[in-house]
Amino acid sequence: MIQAIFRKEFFKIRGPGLLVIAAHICILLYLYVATRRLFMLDHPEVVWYRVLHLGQIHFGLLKNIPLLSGILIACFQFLPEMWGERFRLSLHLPVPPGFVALTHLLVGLTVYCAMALADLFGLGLITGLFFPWQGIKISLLTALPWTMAGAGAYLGMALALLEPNFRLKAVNLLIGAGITGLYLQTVDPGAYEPCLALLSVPLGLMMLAVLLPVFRFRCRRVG
Amino acid sequence: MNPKAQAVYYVLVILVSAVYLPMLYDKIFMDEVEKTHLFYSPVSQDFILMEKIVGKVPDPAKGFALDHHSNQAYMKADGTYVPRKTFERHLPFIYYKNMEIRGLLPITLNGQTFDKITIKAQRRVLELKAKDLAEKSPHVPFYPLLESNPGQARLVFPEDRFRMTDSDMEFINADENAVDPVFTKMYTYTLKKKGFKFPARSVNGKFSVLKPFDEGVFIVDRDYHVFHVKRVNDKPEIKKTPISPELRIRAIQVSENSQKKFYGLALEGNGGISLMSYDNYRLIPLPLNNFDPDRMDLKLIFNPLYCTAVYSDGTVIRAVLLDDSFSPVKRYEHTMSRATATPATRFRNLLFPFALALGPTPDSRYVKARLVPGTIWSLSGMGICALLFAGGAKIFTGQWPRGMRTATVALTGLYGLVAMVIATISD
Repeated sequence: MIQAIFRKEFFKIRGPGLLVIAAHICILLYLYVATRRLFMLDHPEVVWYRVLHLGQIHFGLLKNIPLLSGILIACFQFLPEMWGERFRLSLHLPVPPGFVALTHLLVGLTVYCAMALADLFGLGLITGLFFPWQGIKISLLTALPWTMAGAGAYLGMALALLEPNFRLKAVNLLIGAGITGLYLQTVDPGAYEPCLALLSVPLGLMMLAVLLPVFRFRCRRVG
Repeated sequence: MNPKAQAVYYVLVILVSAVYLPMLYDKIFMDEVEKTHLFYSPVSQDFILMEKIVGKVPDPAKGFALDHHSNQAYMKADGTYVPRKTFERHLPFIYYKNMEIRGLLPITLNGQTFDKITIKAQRRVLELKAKDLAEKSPHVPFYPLLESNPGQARLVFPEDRFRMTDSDMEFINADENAVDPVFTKMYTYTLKKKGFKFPARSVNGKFSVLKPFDEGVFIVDRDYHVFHVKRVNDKPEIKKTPISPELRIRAIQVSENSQKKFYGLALEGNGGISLMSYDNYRLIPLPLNNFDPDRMDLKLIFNPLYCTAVYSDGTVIRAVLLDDSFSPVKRYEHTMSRATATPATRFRNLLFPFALALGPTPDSRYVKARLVPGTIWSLSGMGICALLFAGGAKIFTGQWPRGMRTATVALTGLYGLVAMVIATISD
């Protein structure tokens, strides 16, 4: 069953998903060009000073990209399910609805994590071309909470889209925005390092909380 | 409905509320007040301070409202308020530019006459902030070693930076982004020859070119010996300082100054703080009572007549006047106005049983998650919320709410109330 759901979801989001991946690749290419340009305009030691000592973030463009990707993936995945309430069909498969919902989330999160990891890998690669490993480490520590924000945005959107009641949809959007905001504070590069493990807890809670609108959707009164 | 999913959902609502509701309240009702500025006046021979008054402005301070903002107070240690211009006249070594404009320079104090040039040459401020300590700030351990004899007026960054590995002082060339084996070998060899034990505990320096000259870096080795490392004509100049390893030097705040009296401030393992002099790195302990470097910011203000050490946490500011031998002459302590409880503070305590704060703190640049507990007043708030919830549920639904829901509100106050109102809607 899990394979069937994976296949269904894969066919559903592969088209728009590829567009998002293409956008990520373009952004990473731009990031390379922008970072290279920093070194063309100034002496490398001065760029190192600005980035590694003064905390200038040379990849600030990446801050909101995971957030947008998380929102888009959730929309690609759950908007078609909610149009015409097609998700009802999946929830009446001979498996527990919680399992169905979690499998859907797992697909979305797998796609999102693949993109986020590609972003982090690309960022590490670009930074590694121009900076020593201390630069790579601080860049990844800076970008990691942003990618967690993307996961929060994905789960927040899922929470809102799967909720059948419009008032609660608004509440769920606020919850999603609130959790996402935790990872997007304007702080020194790498400042999130000590609390990254703790900040994964709200994401775990959100994943379980998504089950509530799913149950409410399944048990709602129609008509 | 799945009760576990429901419980997790409400925990999430409480968590988000506990982060954002207090934050929103603070943005709307709480005034962010900076710390009090405390000085020693060579004119009145006493301490004098400037602070923003939180809450009701005392009548004597209001008298000077026309001079500046009514809640900006200039107060002498005896509690009398003065106008801003009088305050500035009490501090001629701080406000010497204004004094000159007003024709009050040169000034004669203690039988000595000071003009602008003398004051400027003898003023100096050394600062050590809790949040600037290496372990409290996400700094990159990768440092420039400036050429101390640049052969020109302006300092420039070298083409390389260094990092301390477990066995080497490793230089990386910025043009190549690769290890420079020549410099690495040269500095590592010289360090080891001088008795340096890897790995290093800390690297301390002022990593800037905006300073009059360069004094290199101070590196604390594995055994807490302090080494003074400089680059002179592209060659290492390394000295093992006589600073006792028993002091377990934790940090050195280096600040090059043309007076060439002190390299900067040295923080010891036991929290003591000393001035590190040019006299063979002699440490001069500063007699600071109740100083905690992990919570407090320290400012050492040198002027032509005195040195004043001013240190503060979030609520209390302390100052000690030091003589030429850095012995205490006079001390002063003041609870800052920013610590005053206002009606907004009291209502906040009533409203929120606790708060979840996420972000940098006054003594750390790292993002920290903290549970900030409420006060005894919060208990009343929790009770009121529980009553409101039970009464509201009875009025709107015609029946008393479930015991578990009321207990949630009673334990989590306003946040629980928000969660349980959502629960009632979703029913």
